[in-house]
Amino acid sequence: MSEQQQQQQPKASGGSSPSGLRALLSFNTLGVALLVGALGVSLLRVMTIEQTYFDSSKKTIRISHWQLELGFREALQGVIDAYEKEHPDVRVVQMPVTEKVYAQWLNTHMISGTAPDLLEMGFAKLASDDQYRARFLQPITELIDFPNPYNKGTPLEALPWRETFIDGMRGGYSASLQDYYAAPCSFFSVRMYYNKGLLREATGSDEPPTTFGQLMTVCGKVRELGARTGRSLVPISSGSSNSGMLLDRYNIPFTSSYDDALDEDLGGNVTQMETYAGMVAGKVSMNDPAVKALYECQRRLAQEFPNGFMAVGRDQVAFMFVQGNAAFMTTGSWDGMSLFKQSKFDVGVIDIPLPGPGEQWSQYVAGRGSEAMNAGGAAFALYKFSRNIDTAIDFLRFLTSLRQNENFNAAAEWLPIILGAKPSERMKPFMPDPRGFSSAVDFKFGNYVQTVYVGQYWRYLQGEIGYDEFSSKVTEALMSPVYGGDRAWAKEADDRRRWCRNQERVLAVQAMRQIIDPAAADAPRKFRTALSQQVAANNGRDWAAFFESVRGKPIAKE
Amino acid sequence: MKRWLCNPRKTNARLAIAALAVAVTFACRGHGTVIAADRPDAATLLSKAQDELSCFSFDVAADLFESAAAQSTRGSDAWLKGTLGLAMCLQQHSPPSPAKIERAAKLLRSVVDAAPKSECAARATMCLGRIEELSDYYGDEPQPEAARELYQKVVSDWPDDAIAGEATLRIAAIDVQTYETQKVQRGVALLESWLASHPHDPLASVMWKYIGDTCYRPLRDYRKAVESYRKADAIGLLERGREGPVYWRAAVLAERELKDFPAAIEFYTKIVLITPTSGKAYEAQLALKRLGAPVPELLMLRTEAGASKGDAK
Repeated sequence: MSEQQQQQQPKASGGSSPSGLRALLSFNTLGVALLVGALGVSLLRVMTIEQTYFDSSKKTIRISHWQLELGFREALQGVIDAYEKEHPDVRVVQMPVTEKVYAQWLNTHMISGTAPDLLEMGFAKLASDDQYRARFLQPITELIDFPNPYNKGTPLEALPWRETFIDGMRGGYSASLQDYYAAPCSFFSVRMYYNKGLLREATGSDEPPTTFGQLMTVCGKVRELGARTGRSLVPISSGSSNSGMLLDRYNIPFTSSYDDALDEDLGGNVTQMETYAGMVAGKVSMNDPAVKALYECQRRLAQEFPNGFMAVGRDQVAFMFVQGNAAFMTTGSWDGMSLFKQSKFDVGVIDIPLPGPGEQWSQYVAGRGSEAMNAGGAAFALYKFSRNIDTAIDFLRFLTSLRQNENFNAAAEWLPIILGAKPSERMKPFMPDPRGFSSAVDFKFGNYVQTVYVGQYWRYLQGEIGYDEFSSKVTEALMSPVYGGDRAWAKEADDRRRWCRNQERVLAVQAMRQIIDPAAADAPRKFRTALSQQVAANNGRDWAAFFESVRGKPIAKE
Repeated sequence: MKRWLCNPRKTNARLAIAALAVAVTFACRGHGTVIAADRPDAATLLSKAQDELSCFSFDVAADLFESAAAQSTRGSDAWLKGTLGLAMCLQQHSPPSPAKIERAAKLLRSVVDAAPKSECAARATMCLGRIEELSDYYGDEPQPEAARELYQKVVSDWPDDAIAGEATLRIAAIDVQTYETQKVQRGVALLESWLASHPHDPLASVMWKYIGDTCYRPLRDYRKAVESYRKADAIGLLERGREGPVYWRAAVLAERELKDFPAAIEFYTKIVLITPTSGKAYEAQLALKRLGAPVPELLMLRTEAGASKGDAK
């Protein structure tokens, strides 16, 4: 390029613009326009948010949760819309946050004083640990003895708010603080989902199995179908996340009959300590026919799981089922909507099948496990420093009223928790059944035994070892003079003593409250309750005395 | 420095620094004024300390109690509460240490000395008893007999106050914890005697339940255990909705050990109706059937019928 050309080129390219339009279309102008546009959008966004969150003409309350399952947010929004319609001066803002960051997000906001007015309990340490709960959450104990005004005109009209919950609000109770902190919105149960189409294809009928024997027959036919058609079919989709949900459901049916012999304190259940005491006293052993039958039954089930199921994650388990590659899958009612919507086939739901009359192992089965003790979930608590705490309480009452709880759970395809609220048609099989037993033997006493047990259990389930080896290794661990049951017991007794000492702190707080503020009406009751719990444990001597009565020697000091 | 100060080109910087210095001085003065004006009185400090205590913040509460005591006259109500509060915070602070416990005991004794007949002195004496009875830190040996003497002093010096019942319960518990039959029986007898003369003691239900527990284990006096549970229940078991385990124990003892079927039916029925979520309602129904008694329906978890729960109660 000549010098003359070089001097002319800048002039031609932009130095002297031939027209204004061309100048407007230059890169610089475009950049400025983009900048202005972005600024405009940002301003608009800020103003919109300000109008939403800081509208001075309305009271704004915020409700946070991590339930990103299909349907939940829409269901909650439905309740919010209904509430805002009844209360035009209130705006309720829903804040869904993924469970991956919910804990950090909530902890930060609680400390900084900007937490939502209503927050779902869980994950976050500050919403779970007692010392933080007492500082950051508002107890609702004083409110729940009064009726929920939104139940007016329903059969629950006169009942105290607490009594309108199926679980009596147990999920929101803190035993050490002796206060209720949260109101649950839903109830949960575990069931077996099944692929109706695949069942029909494999067996000629979509009638689900009702007994363990029938389940095994169907599983066999699914395998045959897979072999015949060259499809990679798995009878029961199971992995590390949900295999326990299915296998553990057999513990109570097979071993609840030990309750009379092992429930030493008549507390209504058999603890690990009582199981060990029973082993020492010869009342139970891993070689008992009923115990052996339980593990054999579980292993038989595990044979219908995918190969290497312990390495299969939650997403893979669900994927296998919704892709139509598995006939059954066990999970909770919380996954119902996702499985119903994502599956391209009809999904059925059944209770976990137990050995029926005349089937193998049926002589050991006392009956199903009771679901009466389930506690509610999706529990919302009040942030103590909420600026609109009365409105937040009012919304919580609205959300847990008979009508709204029914609407909410029907829309979310979850189970309602308010008495008399009807579940959606698809959720009816999930309704908890209180009929059943509640005790089971549990050999996993102490950290060492638990480690041995879990390791050997998975090996046994996957067919790597036989029952004799499994049971002898667990028994050996329990009876180990150094690391076994005696040591676990000493640790439990020491923990019990520490618990008694810690209970002294609760007593000190309540005693001091009574002295400083005689108007603290709840303090005497809380003091008496804590005292009753502490005295009953005899400074932790109760479990040491139990040990001495069983082992005939003093308990070791931890 | 001199050159910098004299440099005419640095005038703006010098002005800015001077202005900043003046502003900081005024701000500090203002802040100081605010602190002086807002200095909370003892009552406010005690109230704040109570709030902190409710959150189990013993260290923060201790400072507030100490400040309240420091600005009050020795022996005054605020001083007593502040000193007692500080002592209790030191006693409960975690991790515990011999120095903290020693200081707590010293403060508690000063409360007793300053106002020997006061409510604070009664609680301080109880606290001294707790220090003797419990192992607060590694190597701290419990002194149950020393604790017994202090509890006995509370019973003697404040016989008409509610705290006398609490002290009696503690004395009985010292005996029961030995798990030696004679001493355990002595503890039970003490409580029974107290309840005979103080049937409306605020802790009556707690005491009857404790007698029931003790008669079950270690005394194995099942009849008295069931009777005691019945008395505790008549007054009202403290944890509403959590009575299930007590009812279950009473029912099983009545049926299995005493063959007192009417008592068994009474308690099984309570489980079904009052504590249906205790996990034992279904088994209680089976027991009622076995005993030929009317079997109440399990309404609790059946939503269709759930609204009748209130009627059932």
